[in-house]
Amino acid sequence: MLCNRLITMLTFNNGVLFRTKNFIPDYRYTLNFVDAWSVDEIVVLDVTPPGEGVRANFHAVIKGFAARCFVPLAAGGGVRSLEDFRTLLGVGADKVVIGTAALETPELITQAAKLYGSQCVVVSINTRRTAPGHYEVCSHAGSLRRDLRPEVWARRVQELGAGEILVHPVEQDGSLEGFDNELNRRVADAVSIPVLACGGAGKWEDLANGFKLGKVSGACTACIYHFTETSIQSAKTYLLNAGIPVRP
Amino acid sequence: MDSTAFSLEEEIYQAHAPAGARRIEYCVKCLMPNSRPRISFDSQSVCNACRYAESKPRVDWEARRSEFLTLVEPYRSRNGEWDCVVPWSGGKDSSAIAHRLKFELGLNPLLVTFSPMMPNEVGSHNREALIRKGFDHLFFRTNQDVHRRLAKRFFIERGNPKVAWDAGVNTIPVQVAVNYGIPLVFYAEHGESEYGGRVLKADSNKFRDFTEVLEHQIGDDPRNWIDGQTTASDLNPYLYPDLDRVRSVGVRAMYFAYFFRWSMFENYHYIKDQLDFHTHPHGRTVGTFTNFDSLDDKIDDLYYYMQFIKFGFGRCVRDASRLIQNGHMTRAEGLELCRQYDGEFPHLYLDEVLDYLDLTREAFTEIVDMHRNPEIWTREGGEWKLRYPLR
Repeated sequence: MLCNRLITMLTFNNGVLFRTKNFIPDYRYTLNFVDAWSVDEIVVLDVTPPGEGVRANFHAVIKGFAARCFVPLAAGGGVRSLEDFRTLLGVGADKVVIGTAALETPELITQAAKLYGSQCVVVSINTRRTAPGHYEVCSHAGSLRRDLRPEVWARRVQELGAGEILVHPVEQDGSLEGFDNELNRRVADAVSIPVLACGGAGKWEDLANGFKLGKVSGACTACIYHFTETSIQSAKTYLLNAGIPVRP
Repeated sequence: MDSTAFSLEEEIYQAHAPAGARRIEYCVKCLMPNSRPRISFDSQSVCNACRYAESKPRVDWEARRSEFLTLVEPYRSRNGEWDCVVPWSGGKDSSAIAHRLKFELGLNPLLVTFSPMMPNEVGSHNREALIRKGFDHLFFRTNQDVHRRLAKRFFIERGNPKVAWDAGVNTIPVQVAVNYGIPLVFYAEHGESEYGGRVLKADSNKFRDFTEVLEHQIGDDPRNWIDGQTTASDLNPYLYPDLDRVRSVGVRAMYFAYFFRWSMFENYHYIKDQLDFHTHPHGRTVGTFTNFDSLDDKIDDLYYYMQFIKFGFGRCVRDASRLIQNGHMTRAEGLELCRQYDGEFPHLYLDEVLDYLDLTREAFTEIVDMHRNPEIWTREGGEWKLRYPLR
């Protein structure tokens, strides 16, 4: 049986670690404590506001992780072209996450998948809840609403060649109240490629519910305290006890 | 630009700040730096704590007092039962609140103390002094095998030995309120509003928002602390009661400082007039010039020292800024004191603290240095230096 993945998601503003909630910086210093070995995968996202900062600072972050960790590393944020794919893969990423670009130039998904393989293309689907039980895809860090249902867009990106989908309900970030599993399940039911949940995980039970109720195959958490050595061990013990297959 | 700065630890503390580092700036009104978590500065380089303090003289405190009296009226005890819980350290702030609630506002508080990690004489003396004025008191001390283990873990992982204590001090008064069926809990001040931070809701300086506490003060859910050694039952004292139970009792948690003008200096003078309140036995607390604040736990000197290591400002900056904001000190006076005392090494109780955390001096130093933020610290000639000293 395929193991479910526990994924660390870290956001960086100009190379400095940020927590996701409204992208307010958190300087509780984590450089020494992110356990890059026990997690199953790491996602790093560049959230530098357009026109600010230097891309090289984010690239330095990727290089740092690539040198220190041996689990798959996905990178994204502001990716617009095949050239951006080449750069991120060149500095050590194993996969590239695209969001807005996938909506604006869907052919990029196909081109990148042809060039680097489907496994390399992760499409991030940002969503907003418009009414209870109703979701809409959005872009540009959540500010632009698209008249498109997440499960429809998910099916489309799968056809275009995406290897993985990251479901990201933007208002859920940092809430520590759990994933939106109604949304996750709709997307997971619509496609056969792996679906990753992110946004809102606070306690280990939330991760378990993502796997059980949201039917995702990977659960991301952005709470920096969930990545220390003891935490990862504790999360995996919890999940195994809950009958969820994870890499011990 | 050095693109490898992030990946190579030995280059982190180089003369040039790492790629993408912020420039540390200080509020022009008080002394707080922008490295304080969640603080914000406006275009005039004034921090939001100073702006909040400026708004206080415009507050109609009489109206707030009436609002308070109206809010508590339905909950007032009419048969001698306790009608409110006061989370109480025995320090000047919580003692002033308890005293005013009972003797000025006519409520009947039950005082609840979550034990200091390393209690001392002055703390127990001050608690006893208020209890003798006519209060009932519950003192809760958790399993110290577990508490010491968590203190060590979080000192290593987060540079803060008081993470579990922070959780306990927040939950125990609520657990007591729920289990005794006491409807009101009075906290002191809303730290995020009062000292610079991020306020999640318009009325979060009035009613306590438990989610905000979890997010800002504790960081994650204590249930996640279960590991090879720590079991679920070890964590009972750190968990909030079910929200359903809180609701069924109808517990409301409020901030006293929203209703009555808040100043730590005035609280000190108030309580000194009421009882035999002792101050720091050495004349001042390590790392600062004050002798009347946060006195009751021997581990606090280390706690504030780690704040200095992680964020570049120590206890003196904190104390002076609060006094400046409330008009008790000028910035120049505060600056002078900070140059003298800020970041002072916690030597006084160090041996006892090392014993509590079960660490050698060498391991201790190594852990401290791991928490130095390279945006804030540089290493020159074998010495740690602040990149942007207070000015």
